[in-house]
Amino acid sequence: MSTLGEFEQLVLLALVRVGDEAYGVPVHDEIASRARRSVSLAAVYKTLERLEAKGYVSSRIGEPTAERGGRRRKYFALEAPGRLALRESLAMLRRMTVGIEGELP
Amino acid sequence: VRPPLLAIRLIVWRLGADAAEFVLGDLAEGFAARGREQGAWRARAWYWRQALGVLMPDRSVLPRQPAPGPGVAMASLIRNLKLAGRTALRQPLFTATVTLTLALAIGANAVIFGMVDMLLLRPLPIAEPDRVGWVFGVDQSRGADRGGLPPADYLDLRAIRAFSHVAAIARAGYTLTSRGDARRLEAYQITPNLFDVWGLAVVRGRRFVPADGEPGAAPVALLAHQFWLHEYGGDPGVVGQPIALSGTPHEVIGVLGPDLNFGNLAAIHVWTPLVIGRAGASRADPRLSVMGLLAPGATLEQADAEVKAIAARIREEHPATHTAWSARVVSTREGMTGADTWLILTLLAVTVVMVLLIACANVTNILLAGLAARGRELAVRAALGASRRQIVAQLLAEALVLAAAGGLLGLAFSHGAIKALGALAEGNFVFDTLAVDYRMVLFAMTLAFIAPAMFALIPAMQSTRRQASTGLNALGTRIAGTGRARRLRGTLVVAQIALAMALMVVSTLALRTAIALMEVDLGVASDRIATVRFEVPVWKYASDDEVRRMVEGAVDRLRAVPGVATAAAASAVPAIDADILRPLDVEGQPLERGQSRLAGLTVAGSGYFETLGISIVAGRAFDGRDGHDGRRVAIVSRTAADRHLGGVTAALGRRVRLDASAALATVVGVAADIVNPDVDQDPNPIVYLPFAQQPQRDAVVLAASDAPAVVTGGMRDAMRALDPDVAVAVETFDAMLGREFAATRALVALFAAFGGVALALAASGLYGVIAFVVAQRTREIGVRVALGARPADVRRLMLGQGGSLIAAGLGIGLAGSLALAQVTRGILFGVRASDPSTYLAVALLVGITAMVAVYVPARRAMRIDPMQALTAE
Repeated sequence: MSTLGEFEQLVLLALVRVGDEAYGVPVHDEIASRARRSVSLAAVYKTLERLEAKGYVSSRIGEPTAERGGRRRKYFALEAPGRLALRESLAMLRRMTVGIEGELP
Repeated sequence: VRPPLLAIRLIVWRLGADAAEFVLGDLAEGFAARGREQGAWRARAWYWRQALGVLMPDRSVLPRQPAPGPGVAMASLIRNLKLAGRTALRQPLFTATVTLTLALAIGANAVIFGMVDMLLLRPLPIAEPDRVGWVFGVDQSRGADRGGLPPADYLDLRAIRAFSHVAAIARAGYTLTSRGDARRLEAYQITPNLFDVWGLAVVRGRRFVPADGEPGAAPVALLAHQFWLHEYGGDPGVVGQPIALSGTPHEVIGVLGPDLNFGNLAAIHVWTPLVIGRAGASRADPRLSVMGLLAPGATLEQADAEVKAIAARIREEHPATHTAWSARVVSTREGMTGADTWLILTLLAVTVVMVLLIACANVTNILLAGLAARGRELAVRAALGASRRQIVAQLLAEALVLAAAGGLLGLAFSHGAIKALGALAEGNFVFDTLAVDYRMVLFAMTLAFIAPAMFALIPAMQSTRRQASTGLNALGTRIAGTGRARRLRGTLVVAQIALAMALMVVSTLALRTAIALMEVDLGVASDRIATVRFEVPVWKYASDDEVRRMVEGAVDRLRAVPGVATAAAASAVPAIDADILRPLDVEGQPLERGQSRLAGLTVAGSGYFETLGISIVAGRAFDGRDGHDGRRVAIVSRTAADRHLGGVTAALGRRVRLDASAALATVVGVAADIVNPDVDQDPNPIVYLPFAQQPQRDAVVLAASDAPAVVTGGMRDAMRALDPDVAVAVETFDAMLGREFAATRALVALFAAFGGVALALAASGLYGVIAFVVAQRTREIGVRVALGARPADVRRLMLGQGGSLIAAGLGIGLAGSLALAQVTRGILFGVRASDPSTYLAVALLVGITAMVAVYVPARRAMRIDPMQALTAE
């Protein structure tokens, strides 16, 4: 299986944190506020699309709302292969840091 | 507030309608949230950033892109820069031309950036500038809309509900007597609530409290930071000490912050409370600058409406002083920098950007020509496997090296220019304070990095457009000689000539304005006058009689100074000090409702008109008869006689007064007009009263001499011998005038320099293009000559080609300069914005310069030897 890119990892973690009602805005805000990484909404969407193509996430279309100017939402949810890839990717990081925590900057 | 439509369109265009729906929806939510929390501006900026993110995806978040690592990119950049440096050194003339061109343009831009930075971008010493409204008096009859307000009007304006505080400032001067030789101190008198309006802070001691501004309060003073450092060495123990200001002991209660060392405020030494009693507050003397702090939720528009309503009521109640009078509220930016300042800065900014564009167009042309010569080299590179991207990168690196050199040299230029401007505009705050600082360096280097994008991208793309094989098969020199490139170069030259023409027109108009300003007939013999200003100290000379005797003694001593022909006392320096207009009472001629009759007052001692060279048109000048115990007399200016007293002859014998409580004075003479201190206004009506009958504590003695600059030393000595406790300022009239015109001179120098640089750059650009065309067509011309064309035919061909470019440039330039000149109308004086002679002269100058630039290479074409040309390849 292929490894996750760093930003893909961030997006998947943000999906987990946001939960059921995850769409562009909360995912973006989660990354911005928690990871303190300022990225564009477009980058978030690009990544989500790619993850969807890999089967890591699924999407469904919501109802249009007035606040969005009558546009619909696209909700994303983490799928089993995504969960697995995320777990493996994080475990890899942890394995690499075992025993050297004190030396890390 | 709605999201920017253009951004939405761009996103839909980039993503397609289907995919864009979700992104746009999210952006709409984010926009609404930010609009609520951070305001419309920030929300819009955020939206645009997001739109840019859609248009130009952030590569750093995309994994597994085979982008070169930072190390590799860096190494290749360094390699490119090294190569570029070597290329630059290999062609010294080319490098010098480009560097110099860019340096001129970047230097000019840096100087103007420095001015804009100082006047507009630096933080103000005001905590919440957006909440401060500046109240100006408007006098429609004089076309003045930035006037001050009289104290009584200020008291009325305090009722405005849109302002939570309304403060007033008055410029004042004191004589410092408690520390060594008497000296003049510049001061601001402020109402204590200015601290609330500006959000001022003291660094030592305490601020003014409302009680300090009550009539009868113990006198207190705050020191300006600069003055505290220089005079007291920054001693914190100064708080609580007394300081004698014009003989009155004041208690120093604190020191203001260093952020007030800004603009005109930098000249202020001490701040004292402004005390305005309801009783006796003047309606006529508009000496206060008034500003208010907006109450929460109120707007400047509301404040303006309230001010206008109160002004209308004042006008109704006081028609004698307030005809055609109103007031208005403006924002801090507009209040602090005059309307003209904005216009001049904008004009200067537009001008320097034009200079930069011309320079970039020049460099583009030089590069295009250079690349034509290097076509073969680039073709070989491409054939050997260099990608288009690599070649463009290399060419851009070369441009970057040139621009960086241009930027550094440009900073050196701007340093020199600032020094020269400072010398030219001595004493002017802006030009004195201007210096090459890190912000200017940053700006210049930013320009140096942006400029290559403007001048090098097109040549780089052009040169790599062709396939490598074309370059090898055909002659390399033809690469940039294609029709497309030729058209491009032609367009650039036309644009340059048009820009140069527009710039020269504006420069010439500015130049003629300055000359007209400096040549205004003042009505006084200014080149013969030296002046002594002083304030008669109240603690030594209490009564009017003592003041009169003191000043008379001063005049006597000054008349005795060797080299001084005559001397006379006065209340103000004519043509320099602003006239304060007051209502004029004329006996037997009461004012009708809605009518106003205003005149300025000048108190003039005996010998005044003779000393200044002001001729007496009718009647007599003041003389020995007009002593303090003599009959009350007055002299009026011709304008006053014509406007208010029924003409010159009718004026004699009328009785007038400028102060309703004073005695009526009989008009015994009519004097010629002198210029209005606002030189672009008509002369003010002036009433002169004899100094002996109206002694003035703020006095000036004017002395006439054949060598006014020489006698100033003797005059200073004479004043010290009379009374060392009186602080004096001795100066020639011409020096005062010089100061008045300092900024004008520097601005004119700037405009003239920019116009000249623009013309030189455009001419050299034109020369380059024609020379290049000649070089390109050598072979063709050789064929023509071989087939029987005479040299004159060849010259006509070349001149025709250059001439059509010049004609097009001049035509476009004419239209552009007419439009630009309309904008400058407000700051012109003595010349019309559409003045035909200016346009004709500039068109001739630009046209002739351009024709010379064409003629030189055209002559070379005439001398082409057909044999050589045909065998050359």
